[in-house]
Amino acid sequence: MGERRMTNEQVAAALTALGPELAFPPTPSLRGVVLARLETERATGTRPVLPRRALWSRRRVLVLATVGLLAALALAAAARFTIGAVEIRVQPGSPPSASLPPVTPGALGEPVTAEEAVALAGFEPSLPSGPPPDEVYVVDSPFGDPGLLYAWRPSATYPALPGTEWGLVLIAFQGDDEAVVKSVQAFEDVHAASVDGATAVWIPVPHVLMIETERGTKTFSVRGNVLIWEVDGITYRLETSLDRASALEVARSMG
Amino acid sequence: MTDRVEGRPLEDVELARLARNGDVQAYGELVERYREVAFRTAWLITRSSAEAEDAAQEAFVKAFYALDRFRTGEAFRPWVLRIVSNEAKNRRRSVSRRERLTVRLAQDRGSGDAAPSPETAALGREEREALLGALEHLSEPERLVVTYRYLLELSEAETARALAIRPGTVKSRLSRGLSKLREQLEGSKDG
Repeated sequence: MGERRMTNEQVAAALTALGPELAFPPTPSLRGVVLARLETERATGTRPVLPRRALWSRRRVLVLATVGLLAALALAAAARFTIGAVEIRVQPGSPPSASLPPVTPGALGEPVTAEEAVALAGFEPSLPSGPPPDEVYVVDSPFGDPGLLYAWRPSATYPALPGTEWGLVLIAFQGDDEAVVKSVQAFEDVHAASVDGATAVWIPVPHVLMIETERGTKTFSVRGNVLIWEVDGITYRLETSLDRASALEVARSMG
Repeated sequence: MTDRVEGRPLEDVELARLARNGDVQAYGELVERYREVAFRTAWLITRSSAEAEDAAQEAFVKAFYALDRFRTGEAFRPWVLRIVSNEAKNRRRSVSRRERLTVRLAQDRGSGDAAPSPETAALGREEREALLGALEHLSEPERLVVTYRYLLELSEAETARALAIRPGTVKSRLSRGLSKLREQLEGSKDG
């Protein structure tokens, strides 16, 4: 590299040339153990292959909500569907583990001001017409598009969410061109709804929420009611103790 | 396993199709084909050989069950590396001691290994160590993009897919990362 100044291209060339010189740890033999696991799981049925009836695949899954408490429905197979940036997977099985934490905004990002949040995320979601949020967080996504989380303390307007210090939690993700929004049939705990004409779903049962962030996948147990809808390319997820009619009223106030 | 052509390695998409139909041996070929880059991809995130091995193994298992979501026309390598990366990110917090990038010693090179390229030959050992040291000072998002792109030699599109970020984000992080590396290297020389 000598005494002369370098260019970025020269640094890139040096890195490329350095690659084969690196002492990576020896690569383990993975084939045998992976195939053994697949054969064992197939034989014991511990992890059934996802069924082909999965309704729509989606390349960019930002949020995955796994709906529990559906075993009683005796659904023969799992299924999943998306609404905006949210994928909802319906699968029979156990209810959320009691050890999972409730939605904890601080686990998802750093608190910022509302102005900073909009600047950092690059989009401005609509907010309910009631009191302003008490805290705002930017949720860094591994997909490159940050999400925003607004949280309100419990109040007469927003009763406390079970097991949390919050009364209302609103998460907004900017959607992408590949978003597929459809309704789902006959999944009795996931109710079709509408927010000013936009397709929405209402989930009034406990479920697991997983959010993929740059810090890894965060998993929460959701005890509140959840309304999800998409409008103008932004997907909203509202968690509240309010009933369906009141939650829809909050959502409509964001228009 | 009935429609293979003897002597010709099957394309990834064909192996994936066979695997999707239950041919785990076909899937084994995919695992063998990409185990090294998968392990290194995971290691660059976890910096732990044990966690990287677990992440790569778990990712290959998850990828098998997700083959229905592997779309025709899509490249398998970045698709599976995306799963590997996410699995590795989920495991890095449990790592207490991070292993460091190092350069192979001359005696560690096999006789069949290529001689160092002119670019690296022009770099002294101290300068190569300085380059690796500068890499460690990048932010993680920048470091991952730079190492995936240049050390693993993924294309920009593959890097974007593997890290699940937009191609434009790859370009901007590469530009920032290279500039920071250059400044660090120049600073170390000036100092």
